[in-house]
Amino acid sequence: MAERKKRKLRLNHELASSNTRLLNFDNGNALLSLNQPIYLDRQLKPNKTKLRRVQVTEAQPELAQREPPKFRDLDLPHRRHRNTVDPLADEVYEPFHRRMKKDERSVTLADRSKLHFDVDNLRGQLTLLNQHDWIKHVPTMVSLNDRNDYEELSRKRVLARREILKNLEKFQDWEARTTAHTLAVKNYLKGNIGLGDEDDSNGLILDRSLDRLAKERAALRIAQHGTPVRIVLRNGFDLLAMPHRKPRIVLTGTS
Amino acid sequence: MSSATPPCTPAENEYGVLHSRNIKHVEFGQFTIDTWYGNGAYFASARNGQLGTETTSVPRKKDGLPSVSGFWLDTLYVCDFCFKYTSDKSKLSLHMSSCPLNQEFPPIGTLVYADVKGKRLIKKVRGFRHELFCQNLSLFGKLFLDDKSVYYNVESYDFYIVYGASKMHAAENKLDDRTVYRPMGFFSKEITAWEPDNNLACICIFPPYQRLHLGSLLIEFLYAAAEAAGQQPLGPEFPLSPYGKQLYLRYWGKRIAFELFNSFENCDLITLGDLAVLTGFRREDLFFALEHMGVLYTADTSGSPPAEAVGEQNPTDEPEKVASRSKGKFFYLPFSRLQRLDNRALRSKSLTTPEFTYRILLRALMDWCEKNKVSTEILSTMLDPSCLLV
Repeated sequence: MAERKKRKLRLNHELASSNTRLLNFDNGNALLSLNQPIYLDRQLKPNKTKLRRVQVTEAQPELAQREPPKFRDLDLPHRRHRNTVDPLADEVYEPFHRRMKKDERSVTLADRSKLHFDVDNLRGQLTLLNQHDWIKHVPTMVSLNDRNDYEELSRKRVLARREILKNLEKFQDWEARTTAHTLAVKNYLKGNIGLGDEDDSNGLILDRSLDRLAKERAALRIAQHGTPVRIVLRNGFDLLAMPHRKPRIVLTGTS
Repeated sequence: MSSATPPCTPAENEYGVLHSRNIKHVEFGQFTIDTWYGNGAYFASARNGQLGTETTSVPRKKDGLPSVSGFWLDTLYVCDFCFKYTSDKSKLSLHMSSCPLNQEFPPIGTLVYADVKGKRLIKKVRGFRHELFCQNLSLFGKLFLDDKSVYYNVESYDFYIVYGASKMHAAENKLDDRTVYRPMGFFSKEITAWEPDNNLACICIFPPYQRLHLGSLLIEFLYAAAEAAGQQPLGPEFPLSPYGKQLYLRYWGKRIAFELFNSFENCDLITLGDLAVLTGFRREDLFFALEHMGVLYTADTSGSPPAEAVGEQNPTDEPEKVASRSKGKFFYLPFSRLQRLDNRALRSKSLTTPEFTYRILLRALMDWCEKNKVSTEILSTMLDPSCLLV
């Protein structure tokens, strides 16, 4: 407790000197970050003396041997009794689950506020990188080998900007998905079930032709999202843009 | 497996997560199963060994359950249709006769895969539509998953449940030989995941139904659904459980081996980007798989640096640009979507000066295939694409 109450300076030299919080562009794997080519070695007896096996992550540990489940005969066949009161009705679970949900949500909300805080920081960093005195701020964001090397500073400024913009885009995407989902949940609570979210509760669905079923679902999607658009590129390929899916390139004449 | 349980430490008592088992057995349908991992989220308190639904007096603290060693409950009884749970066997017995989901065909969720011949169905159940079902499913899944933390806030998850007609259950009612589809496993997908390329939050095949290749079926379904929606490359959320990792590594390895032996026959250079487009796997997943397969090697630093080999490559360079710049040196062709449709372009020249940092030893890949009984010519699959309804 005594340590906790100890006065803390705003400027912490240990933290400032630590590189853990800085963007590091020097330790990236060339295969992932540069999409570097890999040579396919077809030799029957490759000379491994000049080669080293790539092993970055830990080897997969041996999996524990599990006791197999025991099969047992049921005490009584499950006959359906219409007048039996279900001792495990939904109401039995509701109070406890509601309480637990509330507890769990507090963790989610804490994560969410941390995310918004981080995004605010990123926006601030982007502003600093765009300023005329960016050279002063780059060392506070990026891990550097030589602070006096203008070329390194300038290159890492570009990389840092790109990284920040990528994260901000990711945040926008996440926010859009979250908003759309919240809307879908609200709509459901109002009694509107989204197209494609209906329960297939009848087993007769299995007797129907799957092709026909797939076509019906496609028609429903068109009703909900709009008609697909095909742009003929006149080079043997078309651009197929379906409103509920990402656009893709297909061979002319194919669906 | 030993049934001894080490005492929990306070650090381990994170919400729901326990590093030791706290429930000894689960009775699930006609099976009695030893649990694999602990789950504190079933309980309001560890002290009296009562499930949260069966106690009203003990307030639950937000900072976790008190540390209690040993088993909190000997047997948990779980309905194998709706996953409702109890510690009272008679209650479950009564419930089974009136369970609304105890039907031949599962009445909840949208049918997304229907293999009637193979008697396998996959249904998509939205967390916000069937909240209690998904909560109970998550709680049950935690008993066989190491790293799972969401059990009650399931609104932002979609659950894909694999159902199968189990032969063993035919003996359940000898007078009635109907085919009953029962849940055998599931995977969940977070709709509002921070990483947009995550398409799996957790995957679990229940112990009685393991070794039926249902895990492979679910993974193949995931990638097929993503391809149909044009959303590749995608992959699972990390960290994966040890069993999930094993399942994925085998699936990725099998597919990578098939593509390397069949799609790049006359091509000596590839990139992870090429493989990603071809397979729909993320680059980092490909790297992870190649590394674990033991086929990815790097030249000792005495060789030519990679930047020279690819023509002073910059991080800003697109693969196409790199290829054109280094045209005179060797053959390198990025495998774009267009070339995927017409891959005759690949069947041309080959490399003459192999001065590269990274290399895949096809001999080692062949050994991996032999060891894992994977064919290099035929891509075995559990999924019938004609049964997809996505």
